[in-house]
Parts: sequence; C-alpha cells; structure tokens
Amino acid sequence: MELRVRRQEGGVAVVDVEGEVDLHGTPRLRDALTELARSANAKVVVNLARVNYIDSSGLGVLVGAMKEAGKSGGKLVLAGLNREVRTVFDLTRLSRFFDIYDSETAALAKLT
Amino acid sequence: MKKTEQPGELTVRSRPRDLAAIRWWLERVGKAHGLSSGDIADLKVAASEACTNIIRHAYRGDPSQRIVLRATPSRDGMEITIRDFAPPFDPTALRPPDPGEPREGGYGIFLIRQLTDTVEFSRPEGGGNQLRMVKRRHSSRKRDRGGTTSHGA
Repeated sequence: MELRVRRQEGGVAVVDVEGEVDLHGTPRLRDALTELARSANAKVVVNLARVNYIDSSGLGVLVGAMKEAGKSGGKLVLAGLNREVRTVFDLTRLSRFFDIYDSETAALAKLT
Repeated sequence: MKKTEQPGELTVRSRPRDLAAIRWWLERVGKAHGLSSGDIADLKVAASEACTNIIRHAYRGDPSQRIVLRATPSRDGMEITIRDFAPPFDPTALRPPDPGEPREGGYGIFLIRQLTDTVEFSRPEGGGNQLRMVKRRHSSRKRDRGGTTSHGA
C-alpha cells in the first residue's frame, strides 16, 4: 500500500491511497488520517481510485478517521471507489455513513 | 517468501504481510479450477478476513505462528479450510456489527458470512482452530443486497 498527502486550495487535504489496504498497511493509514482528521475543521478527501482491495481493518481506520474529523468540526469523504471496493462498503452498509464521490474532482467541488 | 506450498495447500506465518500472499495463492487456485473472477474475489476477501482474525485475535499479533490453508475444489465450487494452532478462538461467536452505527471493528466475520455459502468453526484433534468455508460456483451474490449512496460526477 502506498500513501501520499496533497494539500489543495481551500485547506483540503487529499490522501491518495494505492494498492491493497489490509492489516499490513492500515497502521500507516491510521497514523496519516488521524493526524489530518484531528486538525480543527479538517477537510479530507481519501482518494481510493487506485485501491484494488480493502479489508475490514481498512474500513475500521476510515470509520475512526471519519468520526475523528466530525469531532473536530471537519469532514472526511471518500472518492473514486472501484467496483470491488465499493462492494465491501455496500455489504457492510458503511456506504450509508460515508459521503462517497465518484471522483476526487467531485469531492473537491463539494468541499471547497 | 518462506512458505510451504503443495497442491491445494499453503502454509504461512501469522504476519500481516503474508495476507497478500494468501490472496495471490487463492487467485491462482481459483483460476486453475475455473472459478469466475467474482467468486475468486469473494473467496479472497473471506479467507483474508479469516486470517486477519487469526493474526489479531487468536495469535494476538505473534508473527511466528503458523496458518495452514487448504483449498479443495469440487464441481460445485471451492471449499477452503483455515487452520491455526492457537488457544480456542471462535470468530463465528463475535458480535455482528450494528447496522445503525458505524464501528471500527467487527466486520470481518460479517463479510465472510456474506461472501460464502457455508461457514463452520471447529476445534480439530491436536488443538487449534479450524474455519471451513464453502463458496458455491456462481452462487447468487448476497453482495448485491447492499444499499448504495453515491454523489457527484
């Protein structure tokens, strides 16, 4: 799993995640997202367009970061889920709790 | 990659980095037996979740222990058994997630049940735990029942 954080206009942080998100990579993802989500009024887009696999440990990290951002008055949204990744969110019914956008562009348009 | 492999069997250490090898192995076994890409994807998620539970809960993060996977194809699909040698730990007894509240854990066994047709836990002779799961070929996907909400573009 690869991870990169980009700062965009309007104070939005875009987190590009690439590869397979499983127990091996989730500690790094948790560290990165928690730090961003704890900033006051954080606006975070997690770009999953290049993720081809996510497991329950990855879901847990995203849920925790979404809750953390909410506590700080901010917002964490997801973008670019492929079909297999989307299926995992749908099966667990977590897609009802996240704001999910088809693309990073669509997510940024909403947050800025 | 220090793994023992025989036809239909894979032994890995209880390390998070070995989860990718398990999925790679299942991809190969599934293709060799003509499973559809959807069925293979379901088995990869289910087996990976089962092994994640073993690493985290049964072996409590000890990376030096063994996990043995066995794949038995049949005309109807594929049976996967996953054996560990830890103290008793029954993942099927874990509390399912409350659909009304997002949680940070507990989705593993839920996904296994959703993506396979049979899930059975047993304690084999000689100790440890065994999870047996069966995926029937082209079985109707429970995965299509999930709700969807999407925005934008």
